[in-house]
Amino acid sequence: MSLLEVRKVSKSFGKLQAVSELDLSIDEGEVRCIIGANGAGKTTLFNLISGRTRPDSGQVVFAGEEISGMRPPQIVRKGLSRSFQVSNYFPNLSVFQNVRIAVLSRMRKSRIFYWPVSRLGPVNQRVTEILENFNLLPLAEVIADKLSHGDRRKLEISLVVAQEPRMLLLDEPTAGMNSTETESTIHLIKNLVTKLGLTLLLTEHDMKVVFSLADKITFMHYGQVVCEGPPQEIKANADVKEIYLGGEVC
Amino acid sequence: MPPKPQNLKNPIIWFFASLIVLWAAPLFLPTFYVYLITEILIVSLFAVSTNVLLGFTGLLSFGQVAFFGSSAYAVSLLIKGTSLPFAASFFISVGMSALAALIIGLFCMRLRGFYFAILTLAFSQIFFVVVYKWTSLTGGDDGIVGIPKKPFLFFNINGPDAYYHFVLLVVMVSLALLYLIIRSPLGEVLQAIRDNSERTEFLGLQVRNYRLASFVIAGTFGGVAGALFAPFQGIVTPELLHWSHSAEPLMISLLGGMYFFFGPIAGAVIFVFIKEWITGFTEYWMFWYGLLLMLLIMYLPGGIMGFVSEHLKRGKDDSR
Repeated sequence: MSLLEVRKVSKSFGKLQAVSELDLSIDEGEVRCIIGANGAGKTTLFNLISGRTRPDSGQVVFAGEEISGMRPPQIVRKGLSRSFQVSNYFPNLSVFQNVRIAVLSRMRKSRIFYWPVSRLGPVNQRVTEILENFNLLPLAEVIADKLSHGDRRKLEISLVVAQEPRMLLLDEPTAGMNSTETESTIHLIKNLVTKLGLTLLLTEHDMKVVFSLADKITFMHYGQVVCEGPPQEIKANADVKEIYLGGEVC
Repeated sequence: MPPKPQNLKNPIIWFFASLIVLWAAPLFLPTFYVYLITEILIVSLFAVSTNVLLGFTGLLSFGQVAFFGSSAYAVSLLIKGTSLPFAASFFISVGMSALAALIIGLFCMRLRGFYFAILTLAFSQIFFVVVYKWTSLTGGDDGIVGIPKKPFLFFNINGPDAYYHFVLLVVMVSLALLYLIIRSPLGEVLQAIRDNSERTEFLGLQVRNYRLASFVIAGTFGGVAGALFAPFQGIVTPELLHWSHSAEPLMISLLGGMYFFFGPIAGAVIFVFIKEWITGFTEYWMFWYGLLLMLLIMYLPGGIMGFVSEHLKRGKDDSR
């Protein structure tokens, strides 16, 4: 059964049609990768699903409930979380505090005003676990702004995972990482998906990441879906080859 | 400049130690200084409460003066016009500030940034005009004079030392509560909002509600400062609500270091002393204060506390 359904969603910015009557259906437990050139509308699609942008027309349905038009916090509470292409974190807080905000929200402890946050045992323990999973524990006390690019990307993903969502939207999770960092991130994402049974929708330019993670690939071009199918099928598709992949992986 | 972690290791010990030292101050200080420290305490509370918005939530509000001033007026009217005990007048005034902050906050939270700041300014000017024009109730331009220091519960607080002790207790308890709030999950969420409100929303938190909570907390404690101020001065005038007065706690926070809980307190000490010192030889103290502030902001962007913490850190690094 599909967990997320995007039905005939359109969005334009002035004269630019960023997403046009797009349909997308993602099953529970699936790992779907969206590929396409820059400007294909991938990030706009993410913004439309996650409530950052409102669609001009069409519907987004998550777990049988229409979420188009909802504000981001409501959508997150339904179990749909996203990461950002450009790391989007709390620059003046420590790594530990960054993740703690997500955990406080998840554990619904964020409104407590009469007790020091450092004394909330279960919250802090959960933060420690998450940081351990992401190999960020040695950097727990570092102010987030001082992190290296790779560690910022890890922090970005850990913030989303800390919310224990049903479905995860990752916008280019390995953007700008070196090959070691990319590999460890793929490993991490694979682990998450199998361990937590997450449904995953991600955009990615790195074809190695795409083919090693995806159950199914959707190819977007000028705001529309050109084709979708299992990785092997997409690899062999003549349109995709011509428009996007070139001779690189085929 | 990123704020540094600033947790006190033993906040309870610090609380009682400073309370004891300050409590004993009148034993060895002349009355003039007791009076000055009383003023510093009230100004500190006003500035720290304002800084909950400025430094910890990232909201520039010119509305704090409305809650400080209206509470000062309310307590004065209740003391002079009714037979209510002072404690009741005090808590009613503070409660009214909290309610006013909630109502005004609900309107202001619709806007962001510059527009938010201007709307808070507009609201505080409405308060000013009401107080200024409603002569039959507020005395208009003349204000309300001769506000007595009535007993608080069973305690006589008449006289500079007694009132100082009363102010000290109320301010210390208020600061402890504010410190706890800033160190609580709510306080951490406010700092997250300051840093990146969009990301906070994408972590499932309704930013508007948290900003409103911050606005009400700041307004309430601004109200406490106002209710302490009226009997201290014995007089309230519409100037208290003028928009220019709303810049005072903001400047004090900048001066002391707005990313530090204790920054505004350091700022208040300097502010009150400089005011007293410069008014000793010129009535244009604001000019000199403004000049000093300009220099400090240009050369010490983290304020006094920023400078001190930077040097302490450097000292520690050197000794390693």
